[in-house]
Amino acid sequence: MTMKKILVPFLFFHYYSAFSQDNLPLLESPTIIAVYNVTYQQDSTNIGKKSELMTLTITPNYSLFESNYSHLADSVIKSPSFNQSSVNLLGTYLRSAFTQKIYKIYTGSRIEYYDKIGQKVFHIKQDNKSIKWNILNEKKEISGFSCQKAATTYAGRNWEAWFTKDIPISDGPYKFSGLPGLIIELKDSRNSYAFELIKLKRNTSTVKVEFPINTTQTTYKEYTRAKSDWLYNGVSQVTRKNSPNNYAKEMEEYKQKQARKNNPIELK
Amino acid sequence: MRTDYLLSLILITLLWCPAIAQTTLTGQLLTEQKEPLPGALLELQSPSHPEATAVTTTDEAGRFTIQVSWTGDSLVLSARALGFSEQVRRLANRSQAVRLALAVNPTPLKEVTVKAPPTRREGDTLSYRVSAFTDKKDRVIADVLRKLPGVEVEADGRILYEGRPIQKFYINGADLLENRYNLASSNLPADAVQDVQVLKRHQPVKALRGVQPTEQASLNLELKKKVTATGQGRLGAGGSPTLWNANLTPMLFTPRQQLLDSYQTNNTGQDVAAELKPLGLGDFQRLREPGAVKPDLTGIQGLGAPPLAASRYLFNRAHLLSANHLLPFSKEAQLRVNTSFLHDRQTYTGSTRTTFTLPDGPPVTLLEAKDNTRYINQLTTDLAYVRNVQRYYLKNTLSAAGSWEAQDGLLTRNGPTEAATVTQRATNPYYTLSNRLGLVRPAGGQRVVQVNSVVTLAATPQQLSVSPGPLPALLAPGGLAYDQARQQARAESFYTANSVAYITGRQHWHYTYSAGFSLQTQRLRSKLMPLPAGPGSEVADTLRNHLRATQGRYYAQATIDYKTDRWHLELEAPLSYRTFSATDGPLGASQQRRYFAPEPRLSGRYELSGLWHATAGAGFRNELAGPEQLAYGYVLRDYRTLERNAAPLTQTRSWSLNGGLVYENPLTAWFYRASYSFSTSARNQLAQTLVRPDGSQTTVAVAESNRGQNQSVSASASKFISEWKLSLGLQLNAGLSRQPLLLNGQLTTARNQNGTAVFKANLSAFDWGNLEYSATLTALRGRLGPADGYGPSTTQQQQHLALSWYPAERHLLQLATDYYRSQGVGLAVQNVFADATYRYTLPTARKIDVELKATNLFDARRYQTTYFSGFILVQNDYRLRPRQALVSVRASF
Repeated sequence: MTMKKILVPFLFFHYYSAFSQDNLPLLESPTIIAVYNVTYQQDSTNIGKKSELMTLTITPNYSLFESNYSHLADSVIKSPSFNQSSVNLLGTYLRSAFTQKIYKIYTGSRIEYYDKIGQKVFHIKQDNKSIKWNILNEKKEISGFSCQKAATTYAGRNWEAWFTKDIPISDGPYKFSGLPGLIIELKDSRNSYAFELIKLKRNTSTVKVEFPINTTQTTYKEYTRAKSDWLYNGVSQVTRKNSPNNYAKEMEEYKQKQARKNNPIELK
Repeated sequence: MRTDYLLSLILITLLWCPAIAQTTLTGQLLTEQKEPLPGALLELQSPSHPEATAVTTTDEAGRFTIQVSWTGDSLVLSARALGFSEQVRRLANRSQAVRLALAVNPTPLKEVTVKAPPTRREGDTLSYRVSAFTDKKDRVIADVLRKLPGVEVEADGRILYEGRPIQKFYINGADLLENRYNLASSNLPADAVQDVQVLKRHQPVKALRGVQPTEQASLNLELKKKVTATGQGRLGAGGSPTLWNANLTPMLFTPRQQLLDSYQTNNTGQDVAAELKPLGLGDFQRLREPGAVKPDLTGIQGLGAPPLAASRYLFNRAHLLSANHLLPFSKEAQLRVNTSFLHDRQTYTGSTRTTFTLPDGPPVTLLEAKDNTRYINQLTTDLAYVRNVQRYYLKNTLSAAGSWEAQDGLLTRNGPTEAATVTQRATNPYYTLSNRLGLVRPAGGQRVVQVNSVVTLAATPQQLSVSPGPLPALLAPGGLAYDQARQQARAESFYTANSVAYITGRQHWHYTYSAGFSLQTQRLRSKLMPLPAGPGSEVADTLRNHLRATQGRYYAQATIDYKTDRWHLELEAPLSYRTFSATDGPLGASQQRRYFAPEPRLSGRYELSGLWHATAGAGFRNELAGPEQLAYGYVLRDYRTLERNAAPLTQTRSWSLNGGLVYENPLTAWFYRASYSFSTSARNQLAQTLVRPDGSQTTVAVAESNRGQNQSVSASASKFISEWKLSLGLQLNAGLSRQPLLLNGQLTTARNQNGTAVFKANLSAFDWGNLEYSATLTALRGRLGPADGYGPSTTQQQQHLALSWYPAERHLLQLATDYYRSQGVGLAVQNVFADATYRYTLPTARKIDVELKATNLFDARRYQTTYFSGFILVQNDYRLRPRQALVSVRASF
């Protein structure tokens, strides 16, 4: 087998394709689309906030949470009528601060986390049983849903969620799930990240939810270190080539700029 | 097995232990039709602990498991699913299996749109406020651009966005400079610009929007004021000898017109013509068209350019005046005029040692000391009209260029026989007039029709005078020494290329079908006259040319592109009909050629796994050389080379193959790549060279089919060490070529080998600066015929060490040193260069920089290079610019 893998790249390919997706079934039609508006602050010293739209696509067996831009981009790339508006959407996708795709597999409460470094897609397997909710008695109505409050601590932040039993789906934005209803609002206690449901609908189109292929498995810690190294290295190479005279200064500026992005959604 | 058994035993014990009271509910959820219900929510609660809840979701088979450790007698299980009625069941608090069936409830999902999505999205435009990226040291907009996320500015001024060259560089939405945007980006003060807009995946052709997506971005600079008059000035002086370097670039941007003029002058070795260099992709193709580059019919023996920065070897006196005006008639139509005038005097001093390895005797070595001067006067004008509307895109460019160049060469040769001085004088003006028309029209849906047409007229009357008369054995009656030879050669050419393309595509497939023709007519008249002319002797017919040649290509081509997550394949399949005919009346010579040539090329990329990908390509070509190659009579190319090409025009059939394997692992920061390429080509003619003992050379093309081969392999690896911010890279290249030659009447084979190794390291773990090192080693060797082995290798070594230091704010100190070692045929030549730069930024509101730059601190005066070409080994020695210092002040206004 080893010999064949080296000699015949095609066998190599089949070997990978058979195992990389964990044989998860592809679902023809996702049932429910929930769109959240996320407001976030990447620099803890600068109160200026950014926002973008993110989509939770819920199928009976798993869900996918991704930047709305990436979701729309994927669907238009595959649509036969690829046109300029598609190109515009693809352009905006690049602006997203959330490049990851988070799949929650309901069986076994697994999280399959995918993100890119350069052109390479990395895969991180996680367990979402670790999120223990504390359901509180506080209730309020949000956008016509009667919601109940719940709290948890995850990756260094205290989170407060409002979920509704009206929607019998135990899911929510980012890696959060496990409540007896869909999460309508979610924010951390420092107000650095806030997700609000702005749209909920049943999907009628036949867009496939696909799992990334050609992925390499790693851990979250390894992945974040590699991503910052990759960026540093890329910026360094380009700067050295283009402005050798200002290299030291520009790299210093870059380091400062990166240091200001000190408020990631997962603090530890 | 044993452990499993033990584990279950423990589990059973635990389950039975009443103190922990763990309850496991397993079960299945079905519809009333007894079909499994996946994705349904199950919630377990306890009446004795109202705050506690456990939630799970059913799997594909509708199965679920919930585990709780609650006290109390009973539990309440609720099963809910969209489109079904909720079912609540009270259960005893003990582990058990449950089966539930839910009834369909046609209440639809409560669809909501709570808020409209924010509308601050601007399509695919990213806007950056320049002030946010500007700091004190930034002068011109290029300094700021290179700091914008995703933007890179290369050493030659080319701007990349996310690794790809930008397509357009707009100022207030207008494309003033086209691909010569370097003029604006390196001169427009950063202060004058309000915003930089990155137009991602920008299709500049309105008619192509929505039809032909592009990956390339464009940049637009939005200026602060409606009418912006600005500019940049730089003045520098130094010694010794007296040095100057000045640059004045006024600019005006108004809604009615845009203007950028520039005057630059220097004698410091700065190559001002580089600012006029086109930077776009299309320009490289244009340079390959006949008429785009001046043919060298005859000229002085040059010295070539060494692989050093021009500022080390170029002795110049350059003046460059360039004017760029843009007049928008309306939103859709505009006229643009770009004119430039360059005046330069360049001197090159050095020597050349040429060694000819011969199959029929000992090698011939020739030593030439050269003192060359080039006088350059060049005027170019482009007049472009652009109309960019939804229905079509039209662009017509009329270009006229005139170049008046003269060359003076004083040469002292130390041949094997005696020392002699040769005076050469050449004039080679060049005039071209060309018109270029492009039209793009959408044809409904995804389809587009493109029409391109080019017409070029070019003429170059060249003349070379050499005294004393060269090659007396061939050119003078009786083989006696004579005063002077004069070579006159005039080439005129007409070229036209016209094509229509139809572009369409869907999903993974993209198709381009094109058809067209190109036609080239070439006239060459030349006369080689020994002076003074002998009594009553006419110039021999073999020293004249009266050539008229016509070459045509008629083709149809299909290009198919297929792209998926794993594959990217491209097939190019042109079918050409090539024609060629040439006559030289007085010499009674003519030839004709017509044939069909399919020239397919396939290339692909395949993702092997997450970290590996492979690339491969293969192609076949069957081409004719350009008619400018042909000359039935002799032409004196330079004082010691006489050439005649009276053989059938070169037809080359070549096969090429390439493949590569790339590994990129950002996790470990290890990157490797390896590639190999192979090409073999068959030609129908061979150059027969006769080298005489005095080093003079006669080259005649003869009809003889032959085959040559080239192979090259390269590999590279790089590693980044995160803790030290240290990057290391190693790159290896090797090449092997085999070319047949007819040398002094013998058919032989020249084999060349070359190898290069490059190592680079960069350390930037410190806050105060940065340290950088690189080393390059190149080795070459050659072999002629069946000789026992390769000749001695020539090697070149190059090392570079640089330190940047910021001792305090507004101060910058840079030290760089370069080491070169060249081991050629003679003694090894070593050079050490050291440069130091100190820059101080005045603490004034107006941005003023004062810079002191000392170059060539060790006063190295000589530099040597070596290269091989077939059987010729050339070793050039250059005189370099001496140690010098320059103080300059730079300010924007």
